[in-house]
Amino acid sequence: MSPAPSPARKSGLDKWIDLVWRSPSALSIWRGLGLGLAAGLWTAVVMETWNSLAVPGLGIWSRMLLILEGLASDTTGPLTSSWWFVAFILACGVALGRGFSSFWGSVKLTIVLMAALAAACIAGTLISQSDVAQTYAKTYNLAYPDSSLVFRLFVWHDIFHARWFVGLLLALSLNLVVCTLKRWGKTWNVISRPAAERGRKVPVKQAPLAAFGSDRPLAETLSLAERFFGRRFGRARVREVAGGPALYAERGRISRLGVYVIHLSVLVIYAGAIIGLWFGFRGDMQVWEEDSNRFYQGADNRRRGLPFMVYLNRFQLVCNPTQPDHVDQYRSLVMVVEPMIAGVDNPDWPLESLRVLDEWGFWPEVIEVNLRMFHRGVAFSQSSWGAVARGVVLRVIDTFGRQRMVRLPFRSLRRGMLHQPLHLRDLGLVLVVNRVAGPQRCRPTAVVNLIRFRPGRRGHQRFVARMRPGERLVIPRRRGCALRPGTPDQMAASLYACLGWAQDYTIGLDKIDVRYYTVLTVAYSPGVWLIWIGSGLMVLGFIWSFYFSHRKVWLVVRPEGEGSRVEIFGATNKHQYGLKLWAGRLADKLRRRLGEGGTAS
Amino acid sequence: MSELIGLLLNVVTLTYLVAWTGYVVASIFRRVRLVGPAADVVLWLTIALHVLALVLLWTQVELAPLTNKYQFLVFFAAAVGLGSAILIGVTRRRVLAVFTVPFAFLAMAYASWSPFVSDKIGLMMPALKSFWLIAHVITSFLGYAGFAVACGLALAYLFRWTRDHRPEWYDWLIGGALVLVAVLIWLAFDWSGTYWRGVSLRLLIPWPVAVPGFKLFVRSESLPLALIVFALIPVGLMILCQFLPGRAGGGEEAAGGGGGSSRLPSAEALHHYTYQFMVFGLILFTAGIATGAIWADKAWSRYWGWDPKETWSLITWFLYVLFPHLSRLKWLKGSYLAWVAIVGFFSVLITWFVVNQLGGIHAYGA
Repeated sequence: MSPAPSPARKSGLDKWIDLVWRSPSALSIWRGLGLGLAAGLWTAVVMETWNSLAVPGLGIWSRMLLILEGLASDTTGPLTSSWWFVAFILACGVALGRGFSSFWGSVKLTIVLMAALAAACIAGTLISQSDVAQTYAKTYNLAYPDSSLVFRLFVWHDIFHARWFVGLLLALSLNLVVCTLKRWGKTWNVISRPAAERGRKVPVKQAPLAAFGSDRPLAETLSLAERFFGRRFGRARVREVAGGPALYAERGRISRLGVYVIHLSVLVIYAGAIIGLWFGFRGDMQVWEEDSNRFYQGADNRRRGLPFMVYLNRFQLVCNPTQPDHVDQYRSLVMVVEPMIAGVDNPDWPLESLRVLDEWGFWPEVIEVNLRMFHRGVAFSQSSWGAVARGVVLRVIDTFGRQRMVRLPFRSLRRGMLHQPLHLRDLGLVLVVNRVAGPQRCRPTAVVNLIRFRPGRRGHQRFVARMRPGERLVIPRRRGCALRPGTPDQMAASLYACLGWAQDYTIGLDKIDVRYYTVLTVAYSPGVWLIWIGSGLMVLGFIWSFYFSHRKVWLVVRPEGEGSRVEIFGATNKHQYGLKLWAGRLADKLRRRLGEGGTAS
Repeated sequence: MSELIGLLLNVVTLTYLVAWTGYVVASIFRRVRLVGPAADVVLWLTIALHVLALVLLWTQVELAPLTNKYQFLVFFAAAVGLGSAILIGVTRRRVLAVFTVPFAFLAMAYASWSPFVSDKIGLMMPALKSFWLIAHVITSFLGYAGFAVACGLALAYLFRWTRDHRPEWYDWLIGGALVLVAVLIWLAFDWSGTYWRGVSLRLLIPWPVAVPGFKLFVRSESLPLALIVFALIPVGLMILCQFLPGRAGGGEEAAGGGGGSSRLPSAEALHHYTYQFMVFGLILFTAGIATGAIWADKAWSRYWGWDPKETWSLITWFLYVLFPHLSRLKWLKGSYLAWVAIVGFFSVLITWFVVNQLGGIHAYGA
């Protein structure tokens, strides 16, 4: 136990803590409450965990570990349940025999917590963070789930949402609050009253920051210095010290507030984050073209619904004109459909909730990367996209020069896709578009099969071409004259060839018809404005606190022979060297003011 | 136009080296009066050319020349160069440039000469097409540049502090150990076939310590090795410091006082300069994180997502804000600010280079 500080030196907070924490009656009440709470918690956890353990033959230690894991690792409701960790650190403080404010208000704790957080962050980036515990079981050769307890105990796969991590963050914030409150009184004392009024002594025992002699007599020097100080610092106070009269001035008392601004900004950011965690949500929503959706999937893979629908009119993929494979931009043209139209028969939206919004009840909107849509405070941002091919459009020019457009749709059957064939009778070929590779890309590729069935033989010949929209497959016209028996089409074709009228057979891929879907990120973050305020405050606080300091300066004038000697003493809360430079500049200016008679020393 | 820019930046790379060599010579041979001002002229000309190249680059790209590793390095080097020039302009101590200009040179060398850093101007991803890109990248990299200069000054401070507080053999011990390490690293890596545009890099052997690391740095794809190279900067500087004046002059003169511009300032003054640059870096880095959060909120609807880059920027931030907290520990004396600046800059390098290998949404800048 550390020796108890004398009552006179105790801060107000400590007194209060003593009253509610250490007085005998309070102590017994706390102990009783704590015991009851601990027992209740333990029972609840044991009951819950024990019942959920359907693994037979689990030993007592495994069960204990599982219970511990339940305490440490559960990532649902991280904020409400991570207080146990703060309580743990609190208990550490009590165990160390430190008072509440001396433990929680200590800078050492801050450093330890920051280092722990940094270490946890490093671990969080080195260990890949995904929610598939099986991956870890495999990576670390653990039999899932029984043997991965050590792993799951610290939630290595989701550190940033683990209770212990959030607990560390909360502990840091508690540390920050106590630290700030503990030092506030002292700081306010300094800020609200100038040092001279508090009877601060002139630090004449230190070496002066700057000193010089002047030919002017003491009284004259003093009055000039007083005017100099007065112009610079508003008002100078003259006091008698050993050796001569002293002028006192100070600057930047208010800079001591900077650190409080920084700490406040951290708390404001925390508050924003907590509001976002409690009241906000985030997830991905997939909407097909010419279709609507109102469900999104959060990080926990649960499906949740919005009270309105998003209808995707069209998805636009803007490809680069010079590099056609590069996506310049992608956007969703959507409409928000309110329940008035969409959900009259949906029990989630009772009729009395319907409102007349406008003539149509929806708003056409554009969502693209870096351009969000807001509807009822919910932000929709463009996340990604996908597509399926619905068919291809071919332009066929046959031997006779006849051109036709053919649309080959892919039809989805229960047993798979049906690829409609195109019979090129005059060639004796069958064309099938087997599949479309990368339908979501700027230039999807159709895999075109040309199949020749040979009558009287088994099997077939196949030619495979990968074609992009705009590309053509040319079958050169037949040379020479060889009239062959065959189908009427084939005979006509060979006649054409004999007469020299035949043309190249061209199969052009005009278009691949795709249907896109868009993936929108749905987010509601009510606390985000606090984050921005906090960030602004933090930058302001850094500038305030780091670039300004509280400087006190004493100017002592002593008689020296005929003339006088000026010595400048100073004190500061930081930047000793900056004070030195500043005092030097101040001395230079004063010396110039005192006239050419001054001699440097 | 892009050939012109490439040529300009190659010239700039070399002239950073020339300026640095000038500062080294001016600091060691103090009798030679002309070298220092000449190095100043070279440095300012270099910066002018560098800024010109950046402006030309800006006209060539879609939004801003801040979209790939090459452009990041070029911008960072310009900021470090400018920071160094301002530093020696304000403090009137040319010797400080010996510690800060290498960062600009190495960044430019890495950008211009490494086969793994392409200067091709690619097309921009849709996600990058935002004006927040400019705000985010400029603030972040100005912050990085501040940290780099602070790191260099911290090395100077450590050197000075060692001179003031340790006997002379201590310097030689440390320097000797570092030379040994450097030679071992040198032996460990094969030298053959290291050519840049037909010129053997053996020509750089006159800098016997920097070169192996330099080769490694330029040639290696493996980023931990690149980090070793940044570790070699202090090695080279420590050895260099053996030749720098400082001990004989007595440690107490202020920056403006006597001693000439080639003398290292007092430890107190170096501490002050380190602090100033670190604080500058911290403020801009914080602003960079904040603007990044705003951008992320606009693009992905979340301001923070524990992406490796974001997480490491937080780690770096924690390291730097540790300093004002450490300064409240009464029992902690000496050079911890310098160590914060050095360790913090290592963290910056990890945030910048290594984290891209871990994947995540920032990996395109790799």
